[in-house]
Amino acid sequence: MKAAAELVRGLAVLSERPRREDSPIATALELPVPESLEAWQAAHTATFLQQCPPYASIYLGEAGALGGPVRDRVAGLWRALGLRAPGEPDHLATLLALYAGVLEQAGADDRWQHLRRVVLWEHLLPWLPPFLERVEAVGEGPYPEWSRMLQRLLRAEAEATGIPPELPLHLRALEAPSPGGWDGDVDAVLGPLLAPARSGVILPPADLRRLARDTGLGMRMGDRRLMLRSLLEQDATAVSGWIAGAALCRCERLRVEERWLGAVARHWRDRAAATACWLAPGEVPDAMAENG
Amino acid sequence: MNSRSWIERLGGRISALRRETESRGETFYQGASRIHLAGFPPRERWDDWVAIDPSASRHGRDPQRHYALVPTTCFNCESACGLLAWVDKETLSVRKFEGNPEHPGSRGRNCAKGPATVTQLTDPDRILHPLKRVGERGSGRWRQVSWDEALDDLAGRIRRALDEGRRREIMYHVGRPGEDGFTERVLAAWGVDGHNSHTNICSSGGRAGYHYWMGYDRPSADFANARVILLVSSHLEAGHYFNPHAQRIMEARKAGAKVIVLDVRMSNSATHADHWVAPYPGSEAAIFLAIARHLVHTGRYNRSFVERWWNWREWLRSLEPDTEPDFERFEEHLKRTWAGFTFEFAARESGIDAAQIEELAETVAGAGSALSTHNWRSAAAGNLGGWQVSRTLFLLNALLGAVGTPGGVFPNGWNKFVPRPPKAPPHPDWWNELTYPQEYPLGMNEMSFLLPYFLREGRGRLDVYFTRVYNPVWTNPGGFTWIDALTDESLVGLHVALTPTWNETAYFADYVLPMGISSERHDLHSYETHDGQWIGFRQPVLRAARERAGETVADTREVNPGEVWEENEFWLDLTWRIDPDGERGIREFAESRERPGERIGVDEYYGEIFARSVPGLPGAAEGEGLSPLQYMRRYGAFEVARGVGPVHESAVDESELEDLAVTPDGRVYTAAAPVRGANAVPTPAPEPDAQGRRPVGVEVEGRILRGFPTPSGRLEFWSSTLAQWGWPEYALPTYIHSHIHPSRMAGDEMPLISTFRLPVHIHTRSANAKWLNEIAHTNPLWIHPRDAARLHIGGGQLVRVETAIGYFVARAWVTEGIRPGVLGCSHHMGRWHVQGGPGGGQIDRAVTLRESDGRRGLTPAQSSPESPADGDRARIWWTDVGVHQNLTFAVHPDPVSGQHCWHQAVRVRPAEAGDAHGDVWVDTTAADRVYREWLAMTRPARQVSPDGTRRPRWLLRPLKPTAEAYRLPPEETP
Repeated sequence: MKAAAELVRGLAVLSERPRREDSPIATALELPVPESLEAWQAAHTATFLQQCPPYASIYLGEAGALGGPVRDRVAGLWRALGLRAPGEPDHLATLLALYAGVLEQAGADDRWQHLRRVVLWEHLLPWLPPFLERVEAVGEGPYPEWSRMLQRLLRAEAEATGIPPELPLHLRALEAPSPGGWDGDVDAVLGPLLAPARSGVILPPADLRRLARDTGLGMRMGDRRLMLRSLLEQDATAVSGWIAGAALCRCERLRVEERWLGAVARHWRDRAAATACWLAPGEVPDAMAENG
Repeated sequence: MNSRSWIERLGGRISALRRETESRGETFYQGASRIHLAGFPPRERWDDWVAIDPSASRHGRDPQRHYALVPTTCFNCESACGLLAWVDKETLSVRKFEGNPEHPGSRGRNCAKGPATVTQLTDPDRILHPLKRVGERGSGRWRQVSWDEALDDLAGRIRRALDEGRRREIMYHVGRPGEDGFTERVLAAWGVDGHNSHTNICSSGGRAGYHYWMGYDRPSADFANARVILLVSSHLEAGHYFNPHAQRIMEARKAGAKVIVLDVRMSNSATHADHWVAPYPGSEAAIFLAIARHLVHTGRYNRSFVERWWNWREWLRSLEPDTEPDFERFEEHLKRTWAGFTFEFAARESGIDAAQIEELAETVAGAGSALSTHNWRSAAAGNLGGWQVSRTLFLLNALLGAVGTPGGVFPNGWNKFVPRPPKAPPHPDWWNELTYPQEYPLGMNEMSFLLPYFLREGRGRLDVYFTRVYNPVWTNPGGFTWIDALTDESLVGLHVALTPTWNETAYFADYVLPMGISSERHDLHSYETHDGQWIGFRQPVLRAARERAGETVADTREVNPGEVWEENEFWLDLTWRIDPDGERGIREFAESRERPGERIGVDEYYGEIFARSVPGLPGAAEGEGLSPLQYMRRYGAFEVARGVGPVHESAVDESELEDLAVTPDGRVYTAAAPVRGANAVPTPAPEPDAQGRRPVGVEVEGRILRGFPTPSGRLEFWSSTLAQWGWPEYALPTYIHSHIHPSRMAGDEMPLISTFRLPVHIHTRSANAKWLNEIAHTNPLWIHPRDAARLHIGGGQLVRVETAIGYFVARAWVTEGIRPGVLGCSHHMGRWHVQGGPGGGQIDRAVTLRESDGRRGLTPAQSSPESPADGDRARIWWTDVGVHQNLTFAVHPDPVSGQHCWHQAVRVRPAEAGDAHGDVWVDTTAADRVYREWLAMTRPARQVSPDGTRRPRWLLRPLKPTAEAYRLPPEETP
C-alpha cells in the first residue's frame, strides 16, 4: 500500500501546474516530459485548462458545472474526517493527495481500509475512468501516458478492494434520463449533453472540433456550450448522429470495464446508450436501446 | 510481473525522491497548492493570451484578440492588490484589468476599485500635460508648459533655498504613499526634513495604541487561522488592506470562526458578523476593558504568556520601588486597577446590554491564542483619546497570548519586507518644527492638518510646497484655512500639485504636474496582509509590454498618455537638476553606478534592488531563465517568506552577543555592532544603555530572545514613555472620555460619525472612475427613525447639520441601520470645483466660494454634476453628488497621539428656506478658537521632556533626524 501511496502522490504532483522541480518525478515515472518547462506547462494548460478541467463536480454534477452538490459532498468527506475542506475539494490533485494519505495508513486498521474504499469508490472511480479516457485521447505532452498510468493504478486499486454492491451516491443522486426522443430543440439538448454523468459522454473542445471536421460544419470559437450550439444550429441531424455514434463507442468500451468497475460502468454505459437512443434512435441496436 | 509489482517499482522511485527532498528539510508534497484560481490565464501564456472579442462579429473583425498580460499594482488604495493588465498587442492599449493570481497578498482577487482602473486611464478629463498658472493663484487659468521648463524652475528654486540655508522651506505633503520610502530618500538626499504625511488625519490614533504596546505601529492579523475575529469598524468591506484581509476573514468564517464587529452602522461588515455591536461612539475602550477584566477575574487569560512577555516588572517597580517584583503581586494589582471596569460600567458607557458584553467576553475567551483583532481608523481616529481604543483592543491579544501565533496578531514589521535601496542618504541633521512642533512630543506622525495655522502664526513659511496625490483642501478639516494659506504667497511661495486628476487643492497650485496611476508608474511596496512577507512591483504596463516585444523604453513618458510621467523618474530628474555638477553632494544619490556621470534609470535602480536585496528572488528568477528585474516585470510580486511565526521567541545569534549588560528586568544590551539584515522595514530603535550598548533582546528563562522593539524589549502593558513624557495617567491601557462623550455635549447635540468609507471609493483618488461613481456618488445623512421623528425630519428632506464652526446642508436618509442618537455621513463625497475653473466629473459639481460677514461659504452653482466629455455623458442619471462636510469641521488634535479626532458634536434640524443641498458656511473665527482650545490641552516637550529632547527617540518617525537634532533648542528669553 505504501508504494501505491507514493505513486498516487507522484501522479498528484504531476496533475498540477508543472514546475522545474517536478521533472525528476516525471522521469522516475518514465513519462515523456518535454524538454522545456514552457512546453511542459503549455501541454498541461492545453490538457487540463482547455480540454479536460479536472473537477469531479463537472463530470458528476447535474449541471456539468463547477461546484454544487457534488463539491459539497466531497467537502463533507473532509469535514467527516475532522479536517478543514480545501477551497476546491473536488479537484483531481486534491482528491489524489487525500487518497495517497489514506493509502499510507490503510494497513493500520479496518477504519482506514474502509476510508480507502470510500474515497476510491465514492469519489474517484465514479468519474475518473471516463475522464481519464478522454485525457488519454485529447491530452498533450506527457498527459496521455500519465492518464494511462493512473487508469491502471485505479484498476489495481479497484480489484484490490472489490466492487461494492451499491452505486456511488454521486451517481445515485442524478435524475433519470428523459424518456422519448429529441425533438430538435437545441436548448433542450445542450444541458444534458454537457453534463457527462447525465449523458454518459464527455465532449471536450477537441472532440467538438473533430465533430465539425467530420461533419464539414463551421466551428465557432467560444465555450463548449457556444460551440455545440453553433454546430447543432447548422445541422442538427448530422451533429446528433455523430454524438450518438460517439456514445455508442463509449458503450462498447464500458462493457469491458464493467468487469472491474461494476455498477459504475453500467451507469455510464446506460447513460451513453440512452443519449444515443434519444438523439438518433435509428442508429441504436434494439438490445442497447432497451438497456437505456 | 504480478498486477501490483509495477506499482512497487514506480512507487519505490517516488519514495526515494521524497526521502531525498525531506532530507533537505523540505516538504515533498503537502497537498494540492497550484490548482486554485485556475480560471486565470496560466502564467506561461502571459506573453500571448488569446481571447475572444465579443463585439468583433458585429464589426466583421477577427474575433481572436492577442493580449500581453502584464502585472502591476492597484493605486486606488493602500492595499496594493495585484492587477493584471490586458494589453492588446495590436493596438498596444490596456483593454481591461483583472487580478494577478501570482500576488501573495491579494491572490488574484480585487475589489471594484481594481478593474475600474481602466476608466481612470481613459478619463477624458485627466491632466495630460504640465500646467503653470496664469494670473492670480486660484484664478483658474493655466498654460501648458514643457517638463523642462517646470523642472528647471523647480530645481532652481530649491537649489537657491538650499544654498541660502532655507531648507526648512521645502515640504512634500503626501497622501497614501503606495511606495516604501523612495521619496523619503529623495528628501534625505536634499538634506530636507520636509516629509509631511496625511497620517494624523488617518491612522495616528490607531498606530499609537499599537506602538506603545509592541514597538511596531501596525497590527498584522492572521485572520485566516483565527477562531475569533474582532473588528472595530467596517473593516471587512472598506478597511485598510481590506481586500487581502476580507478574503482571509471569509476563509476563517468558512472554517467556523466567529466574527465580532463594533460599528454604529449596519455596514456590510456588520451584516457578516456573528455579533454586531453598535456602541455609543468613543465607548469602545470601556467594552474592551470590561472584557479584559472578565478574562483576568475568571482566570481565562494566558498566564504564562503574560508572565513571560509583559513588562509587568517595570510597572511594579514604578508602583513599589523598594519591593522585588512578584507576578502574583502583579496580578493583585491588575485586578485592583481594573476593578471598576465591570460589564455594568461598560454597559452604561456604551449603551450595550451588559449581558451582551458578557457574551462577547465569553466569545473572546474561547479564542485562545487564535484571536485576530483589528482597528485602524474608525474609533481610534474619531475620538479624543481614541488611541486607547487600539491599545485596549490589543490588550485582549496580549492577555490571551494571541501575539505571533496562528490566528493571532503580529507586529507589522514581521510581515512586511522592505528591500534595501542601492544607496541610502544620511538622515537630516535638523528638526522641522512645522511638522513636529514642540506641543506634540508624542504625536505619532507629522501634525500636517495644523500646517496652515502654523504658517499663519509665523512659525515658518514654505518656498516650495509639493502636494502629491493629496488634496488637503477637501480631505482635511477646516478646508477654508487651507485655501487661505495656499492663496497667500507670503506663506507658500510656490505650490506644486503632483496629481493625475484635478482636485480642490490643485486648483490653488502654481504648477500642476500630471502623474501616472497604477499602470503608468513604478513603485515597490510590501504590506502586512497575513503571516508572510512579499514585495509587489507597480510598473508602467505599456512599457513592460513594449519591452517584451523587444523595444527599448528609456523614459516612461514615451508610453504614458500625453506627457503623463511617473514620480520616480521625476524625482530623480529633479534631484539631478538641483545639483547639476554634483558640488552639493546631492547628485550622487541620483547617479548611475553602471554609467557614472549619468542619471540612474528605473531599470538600473530596481534591477539592483531585486538582484541584491531580496532574498530568494535571484534564485527564483534564475530558475525561470530570467533576471530578477525581468522576473518582477513578468509576475509583479514575489513571496519572500511564508509563515514568519513568533519572532520574539527566536534566540539572538551568538555573533550579536558581546560585552553584555542585562538589567534586573532582563533587558539585554550588547556592544556588538548592529547586524544589517536584508529587511529594511521601519523598526523602532530603543535607546542604548549608559555605556552605549545597543538593546539586542531580553533574557527569558536563561535564554536571550529577540523580544519586541520597545524600551523594555517586552510587550509594554505599562508605558514608561507615556509615564515619563507627561502622561502618567495614561501609562496603562485605559478609557478616556471622548470629546463627544455625553457628559461633554449639550442636550440637543448628537455625535456625527464622518469616518466611514463607501466600499467602492477611496477618498479623493477614485473620483474619476466612472464605473465606481455610478455605484456610489452621494453621502446622505444617516439618521435613525426615532431621531428623525423627534426632529420632524422626513426621508430625503434637506437638513442643516450645525457643527461648532458652521453648518452644511445634506439630504436625510432615515434608516434603522444606524444606532439611535448617532448621525452618520461618509466623507467620500461632496467633490467640487470652482465655477469656470478646471475640473468636473461624474461626482463633482461647480461651486462658488463666498465670503460674507467674516464667514466663508461654498454654494453649489449647479444642481447636478458636470458630465465628462466622453460618450457616456447621457448616461449620468444622478444629480446628487453629496456635500463637502469636512469644511465645517474644526481641527481636533489629540494632545497625545496628535490624531485629528474626527467625530463632531452637531445639531441637526430641517433646512431653512433658501438652503440648497451642498451649501456650506463656516465661521473661521470660531475655527481659530477651537484650534486654540485643543492646542491648550497639550503638554509641550519643553514642560515634560525628561531629557531635554523633543521626542522619545525610539518612536518611529519618517526621515528620523540625527540625535543632535532631537535636542530642544535653547529657550528664547523675552
